[in-house]
Amino acid sequence: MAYAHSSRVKLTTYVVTYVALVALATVSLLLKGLPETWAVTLALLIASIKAVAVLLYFMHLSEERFSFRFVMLVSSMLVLVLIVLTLLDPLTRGPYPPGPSRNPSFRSAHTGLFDLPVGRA
Amino acid sequence: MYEPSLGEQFESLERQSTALRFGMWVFLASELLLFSGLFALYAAYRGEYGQEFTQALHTNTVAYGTANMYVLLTSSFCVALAVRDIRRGAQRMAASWLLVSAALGIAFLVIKAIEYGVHIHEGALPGPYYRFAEAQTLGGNRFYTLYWVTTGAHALHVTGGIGVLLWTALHTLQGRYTPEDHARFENATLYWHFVDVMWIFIWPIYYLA
Repeated sequence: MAYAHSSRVKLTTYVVTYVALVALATVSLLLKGLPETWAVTLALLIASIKAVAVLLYFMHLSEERFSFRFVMLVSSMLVLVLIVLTLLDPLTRGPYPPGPSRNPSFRSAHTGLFDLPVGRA
Repeated sequence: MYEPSLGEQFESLERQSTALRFGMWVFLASELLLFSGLFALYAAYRGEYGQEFTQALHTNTVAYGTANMYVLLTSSFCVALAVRDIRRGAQRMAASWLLVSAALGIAFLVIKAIEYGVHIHEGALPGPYYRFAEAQTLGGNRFYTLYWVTTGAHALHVTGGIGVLLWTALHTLQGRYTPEDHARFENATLYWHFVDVMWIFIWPIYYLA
């Protein structure tokens, strides 16, 4: 056999994973009424759980050797670092230089688009 | 009947299969980095434009995105069953599951096209074409520009994935994949699952929260 692990994953595992994914997606719909910070945090947490379930059971990463899991682990960490570092810029920016949302010359360059209201507080 | 072809650099089919699958995982990791740039941009714009950005987000129709979430989850499930069947040697069943998944992929694109039609009608278009009355802000413009780029890139991946699934189904019916030699079959399914995983993250950040 080319695959020593060929028959490891049972039909039950696939069905349980699918039902769990659908249930989690449905639960995510309830987040719409929550305060923004909670909604975003929980939505991303649920999305991460769903992604891990797909990776482990549908994509059979749970059966593969560690080197396969390591590739996804490292790239996921790199994605996380990239997003956090990029987000830190607007969140930690002081009054000068102003970000695009508070920069009058930047905003006025877009006045051709529509009437621009006041930017972020 | 196709005979398994063993590359001269490999000493066994098992090693060849492992190398093929490992190469696919590395490819998927590089694809992930492509989408990560868009996710990072989303985070930066959301941080920069704050309420203007989230106001635009809440004008998006949840029903379209949610329907597509369920469609892709179901197609992923079908593809997983296809792998189970090819491993058992049930080639016709495996090909059938791939065809069902491809049909669900087409359903995804149809729903997306209807949604795009609504956006075009409302003027929720990218960049200088933006004329959306419900969110006449720079943040709204940024949201919908990024929305079109991200979902457009994703839709292109879905289109490519459908082609790969159909091609693989055809080869499966021709008997090219066996329980001993089906690494290329599994690679095709890995690509489809990846498309699903990307939507798992796109859906909440562009439709829900």
